[in-house]
This record gives sequence, C-alpha cells and structure tokens, in this order.
Amino acid sequence: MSKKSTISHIPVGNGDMTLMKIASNDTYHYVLVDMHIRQNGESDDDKCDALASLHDLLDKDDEGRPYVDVLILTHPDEDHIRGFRENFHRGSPDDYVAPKDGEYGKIFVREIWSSPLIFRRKSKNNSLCKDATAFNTEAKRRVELYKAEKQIGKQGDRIRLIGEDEDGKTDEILDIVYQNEDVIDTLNEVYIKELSARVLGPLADDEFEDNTCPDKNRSSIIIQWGLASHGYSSPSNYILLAGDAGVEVWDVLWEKYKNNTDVLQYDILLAPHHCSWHTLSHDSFSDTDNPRVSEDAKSALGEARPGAVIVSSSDEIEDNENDPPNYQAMKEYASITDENDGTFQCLADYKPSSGKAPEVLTYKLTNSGPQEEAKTSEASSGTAKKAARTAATGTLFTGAGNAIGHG
Amino acid sequence: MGDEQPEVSPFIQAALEQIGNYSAVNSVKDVSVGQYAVIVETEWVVKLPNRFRKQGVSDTGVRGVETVYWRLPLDYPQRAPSPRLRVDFPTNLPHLNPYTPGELVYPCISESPLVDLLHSMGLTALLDAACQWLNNAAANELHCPVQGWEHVRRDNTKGLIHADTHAIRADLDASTDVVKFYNYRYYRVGSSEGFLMGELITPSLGASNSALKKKNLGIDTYTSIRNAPGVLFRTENGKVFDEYRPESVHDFVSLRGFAKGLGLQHAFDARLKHILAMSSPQSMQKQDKAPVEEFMVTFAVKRPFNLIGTESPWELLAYRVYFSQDHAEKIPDESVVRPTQLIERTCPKLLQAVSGDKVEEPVNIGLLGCGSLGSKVALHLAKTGCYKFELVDNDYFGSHNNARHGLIVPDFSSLCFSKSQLLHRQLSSLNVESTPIDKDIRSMGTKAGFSLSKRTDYVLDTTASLPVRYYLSHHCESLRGRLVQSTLYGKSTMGVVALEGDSRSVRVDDIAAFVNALCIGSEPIKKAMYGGEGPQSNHFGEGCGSVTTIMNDIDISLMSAAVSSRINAHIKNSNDTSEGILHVGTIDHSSLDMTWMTYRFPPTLIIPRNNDFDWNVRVLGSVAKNIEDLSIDDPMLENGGVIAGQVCQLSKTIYVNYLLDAPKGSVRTRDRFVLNVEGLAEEFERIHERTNGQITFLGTWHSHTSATPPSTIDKNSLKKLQINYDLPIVMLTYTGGHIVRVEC
Repeated sequence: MSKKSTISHIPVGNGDMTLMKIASNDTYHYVLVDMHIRQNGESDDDKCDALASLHDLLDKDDEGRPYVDVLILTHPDEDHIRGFRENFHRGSPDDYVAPKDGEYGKIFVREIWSSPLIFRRKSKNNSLCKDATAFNTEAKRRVELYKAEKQIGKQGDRIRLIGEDEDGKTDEILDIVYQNEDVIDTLNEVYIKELSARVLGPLADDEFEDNTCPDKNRSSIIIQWGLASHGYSSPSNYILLAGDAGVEVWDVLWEKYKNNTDVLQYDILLAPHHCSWHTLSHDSFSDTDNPRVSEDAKSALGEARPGAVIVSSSDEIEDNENDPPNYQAMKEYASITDENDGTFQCLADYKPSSGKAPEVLTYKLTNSGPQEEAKTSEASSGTAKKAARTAATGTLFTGAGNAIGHG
Repeated sequence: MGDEQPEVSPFIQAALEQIGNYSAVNSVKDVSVGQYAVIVETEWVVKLPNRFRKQGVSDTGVRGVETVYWRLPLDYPQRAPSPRLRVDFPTNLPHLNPYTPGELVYPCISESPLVDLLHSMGLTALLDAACQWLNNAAANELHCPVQGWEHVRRDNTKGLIHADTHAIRADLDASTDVVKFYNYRYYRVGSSEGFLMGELITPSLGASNSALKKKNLGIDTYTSIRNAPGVLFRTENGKVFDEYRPESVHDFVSLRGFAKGLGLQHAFDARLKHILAMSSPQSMQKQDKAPVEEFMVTFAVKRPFNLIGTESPWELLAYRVYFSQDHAEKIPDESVVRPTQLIERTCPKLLQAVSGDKVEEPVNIGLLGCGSLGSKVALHLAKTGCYKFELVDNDYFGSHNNARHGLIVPDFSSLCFSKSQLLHRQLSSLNVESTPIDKDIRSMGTKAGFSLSKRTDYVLDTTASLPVRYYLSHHCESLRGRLVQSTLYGKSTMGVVALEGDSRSVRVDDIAAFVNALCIGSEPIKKAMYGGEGPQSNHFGEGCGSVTTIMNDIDISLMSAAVSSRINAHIKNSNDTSEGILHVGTIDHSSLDMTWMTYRFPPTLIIPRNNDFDWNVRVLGSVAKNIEDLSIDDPMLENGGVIAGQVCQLSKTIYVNYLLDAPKGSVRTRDRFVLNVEGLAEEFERIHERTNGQITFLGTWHSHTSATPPSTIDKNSLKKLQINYDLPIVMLTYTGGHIVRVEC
C-alpha cells in the first residue's frame, strides 16, 4: 500500500500540537508544529495523552530513536512548547541516551525551524518559560555550530530561521534564513516535490503601523502549507498554520495580499490563538459593549476553499465571554465555513469513538483535498497494525505471519 | 430437496457478526444464503473528502453511503470473502476486477490474493482494505504515482501475444517515429478464431511503408504459422493521457474512434491503407498465397507516470483486427476487433526486474568450463539478467552429466553438441545473449584457437583443471577482463572464489598456492582438500569412462549457489578494490552451516629469474607486507624467520606464501640475526602432513638495520642451506625499504 500524507491535530486543550506526515519518494517526512505535552502523571481519562499519541504517529530511525524531520516553534509561549525539555533530545546527536525499558525515547529533532525571537533578550514582552528557554538554548547551539562550520551540519545539528532578526543577528547566517514569501520545498535538506510551503510571517516590525517591539504573538511564524498527494507536485491541499498571530497581523496580511488572495487560501485553518477573539478584533470582548470584528482580519482569514475546515485547538467552546476560546470568534469562523460548505471543528469536541477524551483528528491529504481518516484499523496507523494482528489470531491458521505467496 | 438451503457454518456466523460490527458499517440490510455463498448486504460509510461532504457524493461518483455486498463462500474461511459494489458504481476507476456489465462491480482491494490476506491478517484486514479502497476511490487516490499507473482494465481479451515489451518501450524512448511496423506471427489454437498464440517480433521493421515486405507475409505451409503485419502508433511527443478509462474498443469503428481520441487518426488511416494493399486477402490471393486472417494494431499511450510493474510510462494497448473477406479496400465498421494481451517475453530486463539486480549495460563474462559448476554458476548469473556470456568448453555432454549438470539434456538431444552449445541453447530460452565456443581453452589467444571479445569484463574459470590454471597463469599474457577462478573441493564441502588483482598484480596461481597454506590452520579446509575425498575413477556405461568425484546434485548446488552469490556480489561492487581477493567457504553437511572467510592481497612481489637462479620468486603481497612490518618493528635490531610455500617445477616458480616465526633461541642484534633451527624439522613434518606436501620449507628471511646489500654471512648461510636439499632455496633480505633475494 502506498504511503499517504496526513495532518494530525492532537487535542491538547488551549495549546497547539500539529503533526504533518508528508509522504514523498516512498518515505515519510515528519513535521511537528508546536507542542503542548503535559508532564508525566498529568494524564487524565478525559484528556488525550498527547505524548502517547505523538509516539504512535512517529517512526524510529535506524538507531531506534523516535524522530521528527522538522520541529517548528511558531512562537515561544508555553502552550506551544510545553514538554520540550522532558520529551525531546537536546544537545549533540552523539549524546543521545537510549530510554530505559518501558519509557518513551526522547524525540530526536533532525532540523529546527525557529523565528529570530531566540536572539531577543528577556524583557517584559519576551519572558520565557523553562521549555522555551531550553528550546532557545538548543536553537542557539545549532546556530553557533553553523557559524563555526560555515556549512549545514548533520541531522540533529540543523536549524533554519524563519525571518530576519530586526537587530541584525541573522545578517551573517542569511543562508539558513527563510524570508517572507519564500516558497520552501525542502525538509531537513531533502527535496520534497510534493511541498510548496509559503512563508507569510513573522512580519517585520516596520510592517506594523505602531512599529514597536513586537510581542511574541505578533512574531508568530505563519506558513501556508501547499501539499500535493504522494508522487504529485501540484498542491491539492492548503493548510494555514499561524500560531497565535493576532488581529494586527491579519490586518497587515490582508493589506499585503488582498490582490493576491491565493496565498491566503486554505483547506484547513488552525484558528489562530485557540479561537481567540483578539485574532479577529482590536476590541476587548469583555471590556467593550459592542466589540467589532476587523473586516480586514476576517477577510485575510476568510480565504476558505470549498469544504474547508477551521480547527480550534482549544478547550470546549462555551457560550460565554471566555477568551480564548471565544464563542463569538467561533461564530465568526463558522460564518466563513458555512459560506464554503465547510465545517468548524473544536478539537475538544472530537470524540468519534464516543469516549470521554477527545481524539486525534487526522486528515489524509489527497488529490481531492483533505479527507478525514477513517477511525478504523487503516493500514497507515499504528493502531491498525495492532488491530489486524489481533484479528489474525482469531483465524484458523495462526502463526502465518506476513505470509508470502509462492510462484 | 433441491431447494433446501445449505447450512451456514459457525465460522460464517462469526464473520457475519464481525462485518456487522465493523466501524464503517452503518447497518446490515440483508443476508441471503445461496447455493455457493452467503451474501451480506451492508450500508457502508465512506469518508468523502471535505469538499464533497455537503453534496454527499465525490467528483469520482462515490457516495457518502455505499452499499457493499460481501460474498462469503460456504467453505469460509478456506476461501476468502470478497466485496461487490452496486451495479451502477462508476467503472472508469482503476483497480476494478474484470466484470460483465449489468453485474455487481468487483473492486480489487488488495495487491495480494484475498485468501492470503485473510489467513495472514484476519477478516478485519479485508474489511480495512475495502474501507481504504472506497475512501481512496472517493478522493481520486486509487492511482498512485509511487505504485504506478494501472493498466487499462480489459474485461474481454482474446489471444496471448508474446512480445519483448522492454525492447518496444526502449525503442519508444529512443525514437520519435509515430509509426513502427513489426512482424506479427501467430498460430491459431483449435477452430476458434478468438483464441490464438502469437508473437510480436522485435526489433521493429522500421517506420517506412517499404519496411513491410510482401514476401515475408503469409501462411507457412508446413507449420501453419501466420506471418502478418503489426503496426504500432505512439501518441504525440509531450502529450500525456492522464484520464483512466476502461477498455471501450470492440469493433473497427470504436478502434478508429480510439485512435482519433489519441490524435492518431490520420496516421492510422494512412497505414491501414498500406496494410490493406500489402496483406488483405485479395492482395495475398494475387500473390498466390494463402491469406492471413488478421493483423495487429498497437497504441503506445504516454501516461503521467510509470505503469504498475514497469519502469516506463508507455502503456501498450494491442488489438487484433480481422481482414474482411468481402471488402477489398476497407474493413467494415462493424468488423470485430479483439483487445489482446501482450505478454512480457522473458528478457534480461524482465529478469532484472524480478531478481532485483539492475545494470545499465550487461556485464560480459567469458566462462571457461561449462561443466557442473560452470553451468550452475552461468544459470544463476544469467537469471539476474545482468550478464552476457562467451561459453568456452569443447567437452561433449554425456548421459552421466545429467546427474549434476545445470542442464537436463535428453540423450538424443545431446548428440553432437558440446556443453557450451547446450548451455548456449538454454540461455537463449532466457533471451540472454551468449556465444558458444567449443574450443580447447588452452588455444585461447593462439592463431588457430580463439580469442575472447574485447569487451569481456571478467573471465570466469570453473574448470577445476590444473592444466587450465597453469595455462592461464604462465602462458596467457594478454587476458581480456579480470580473471576469477572458482573451484569446489571435498565433495563440495568447500568452495573457493579467487579474484585476481587489477592488471594481474595478484594472479590466481598466487592465490591457489595460498589456499594450500590455509590447510595448516584449518581442519575443514584440510579435510576438504586432502581428506581423501578426491576424484575417483568411475565408468558409466559401456566404453564410457570418466574420472570424477561421486557426489549428488544437491551438494554441488548448495555450494555453487553460494559461489555464484560471491561472484555476483563482487561484480556488482566491481570498483571496490584493485587487490586480489579470496573467498573460501566451507559447509558442514550435517548441520548445513556455511562459513565464509575473505582474504585480500596487495600486489605480489615478483623477483624474476636470472642467469644464476632459474626460478621466478613470487612473494604473496600479504607475506611481503608482514616481512616489512616485522623488519621495521624494531629498526635497531635485525629480525628474521622462516619462509615457506609452494614450488611449481613446470613453470619454475616459487610461491612464498607462509611465514614461520623464528624459533626460541634465535639471536637478534644490531648487525646480526641467527636463526635457531630447533624444532623446525618437526614443524615442517606437520606442515607437510597437513598440506599433502604442497607447502614446504623454502628458506629464510631477515632484515638489515641499514641499507646494506646481503652480507658474506648471508651468502654462506644460503650455500649451506642449499646442500642436501632437492628444492631451490630462497633467502630474502629486507634492506633499504625493499625485499631482495640473496644470491650466492
């Protein structure tokens, strides 16, 4: 059975964790965008075990290490990087330590994609949690290696920066910097013909009216992921992932691209900032009597293709003033999807097996756009293999293994 | 009694429950028990791509809820259940099994047989496969560039036509001609006009009308084989046909319509006119020839990616077109046209594809010896599709050879044919190129003999013949290709593959001498080479004698397969080394454990004969290196030891291939090395016993701490050694970074 690309949204409450599994040249390439993994012992019957789900989706390399080809941190807020210290290998690839029996191995990150925020000093607008600090240290280690060796290092030492640093810290490493509007077709130094990932953000400070030092949300990496089905090169799936980019970012993007809206179109949009009202409006939802939606921001977020899905990676959305997720924001997004025969899906509500905990929502990325993966034992999932093996023991002829015909 | 319903087994009951509980199954609508199977009608939920969810049907025509009929044979699980889809399910999708219009559509949900899937993975795997098939059909994902383009589904083909499809496709890549003519040869089976066996003969006759010659057309009076025209049309360069359609051609008008759809109508009409003029019944009658009934039209259609099972995007669609017996100038529109199947002819490319070995150009092997080992190695290598052969053997095939040879030759067929000719005939069945040379190997390179092709990459000697080894080593100065020698010993308990170094820097005789030295330390090798399992004289039939070793085909096949694997692996990685290489394998016939050792040899040090010493000395590269290492280990002291090896009286060659440490009590000083000989005689007794006397004392070696020539002491010692010894004595000195021979 040929490999199929997928995107999996792991339900982590108010936080983001998205894994793209990109099939190319008969190999899977794994791209993890953000993470929100609770500490051990925090598992709960009504919560998805994010770490277990992630390990189920990943493969191991020849050395037995679970790995991702690319880890992208859209911005260093805790709900986007939580669990990095505990669950990901940091430091030289040579220092990888095999796990003890019964434990998950640390995930090996072949290449990091980071915003230039790693170069910013700590400040009121740039305070970092422990996981973000650990990520910064690892990213800087890789940058320093590149500076020292003047060449792309081996897997586990590689890094790409998305956007230039305003203070010139990326001036001497521009060869590993992707600029806005670049279209990326390479992951971990491997050309992927199915991939056309367009960089839309972070925007430069001078693109904003106030031109002040940005907060982290304003500096989110924004990428429109164009993905073709395995073996093809013309994208048939567009996915817009934008971290916590706020309303001012979307205002600017609309101004930039209102005459070239193709770059904003999507089949899947991860509603920025966990369906926050501040993505769509300059007004405070709780402090304003009649908060108004920014038409520009909504237009920028409204380039939905037929059948598009807007996914809210958040807690359940209730009809109150909570933000995020915000009920009114959800209604605004739903109005967009309604116009395009699409759907709005809050991950906290995705329980196809009718259990207590939400489940991982996976779409296959097909020639006809995204297609929800059936919650059966389809061959591509780890669960599938287990289920099929269990079933085999029920047949008359056990122990046949992967029988091979003779001819 | 006849209407009685068959009993439904508990296995089927369990399967019905499992199907009903399957996650994609909304409901079971009906279960009916037939004479041969139970049919379960289920309502099946298909995951439509997001963009089609609202409308409930995909652009490929798959609905959000489909009816899936599962057909469970009454002897389930001996046979597997299979799914069927509604009668009006879209049939312009790939991966459908052939079916009759009006019947339920039968999807091809698995690459492996369903019964294999059932017994290896269980019923769930079949349900999953059906689920995946339907979801992929809805998302237009049944075609996958990685898996390949599905061949046009043809529900009703007639005739089996062999063709070298690899050659045809290679021709399509190499040439831009829109039209190519071929010889189409066929033989009718029985009285039916539908079924026949045929062949589309490659290479093509060419593109011009004149390529088709009347004299080559017609029915062979003796064999009834028909020689008819074949014509191939290729789609326009750069044009790709990416719409999948099942076969629609069934008569002449639909064939013309198909040609038109491919943009080939004008070429088709023009060539048809020529074919009619050349080979219609009327035209043939004018030539007083019995007319052929049909001709072949093939369309080569470029697909967006390679076809399943091929490495080419060219799909070859062949049709048999009948000449009209009544219409001289045309073929009636309603005339039947039969889609026919081109069956891949055995050819090197096919062999490569199946064996997994690939080469751009075949490797040229000059095979010396087509006996038991040679024939088996040749067949193993030939079946990879990566080799061409020159087969050298002037021996004739005897009945007794059938016991162990790679070929099976009926007594009558073997008459008057040499082994090389018979092997050539067998390789021809694989369409692997070979040239038989039934000459004495020892005449190779002589005027009256023969020479191998200039393109020979490897010369593979499997003769196990000492005269041949002698000839190759000492009388064959300009050997084409690198020499590989393979021999089996001890009733095939040991196999040897020796590869000469680049430009014969290490020769097979050097390596063969070394193999003797291996007996000193290895019991299995000693037993195989000198354990009393050697050739015995035997007689087979009246007046037919042969000296051979008695062993069965099984044992020789075990080792010859391993030897072939070694040779094949080396040739595939031919750039890996310029050294000489020796692979020695031994097998324990009780456990069948096989052990292989590999030895590498740098260039042999050659000290040529001169007027005073009529012997060539060949010091094995590894031994020379050892002497050098021991000499420079402590450069302030002279070092030394004993040299041993083999002596060839015929060629006057001394092979130095074994070193013995100097016995205890030997003295090493700055300007002197004194060898204590205590125990040496006993040690050489042991060595002689283990090597059947092949490895013997040859002399001594020692080092000088400065670059000085052999001293008087050296020369005197050499003289003393030569007294009372019937073999030549060699004394080697490492001095000034070189090894030199001491002369008296």
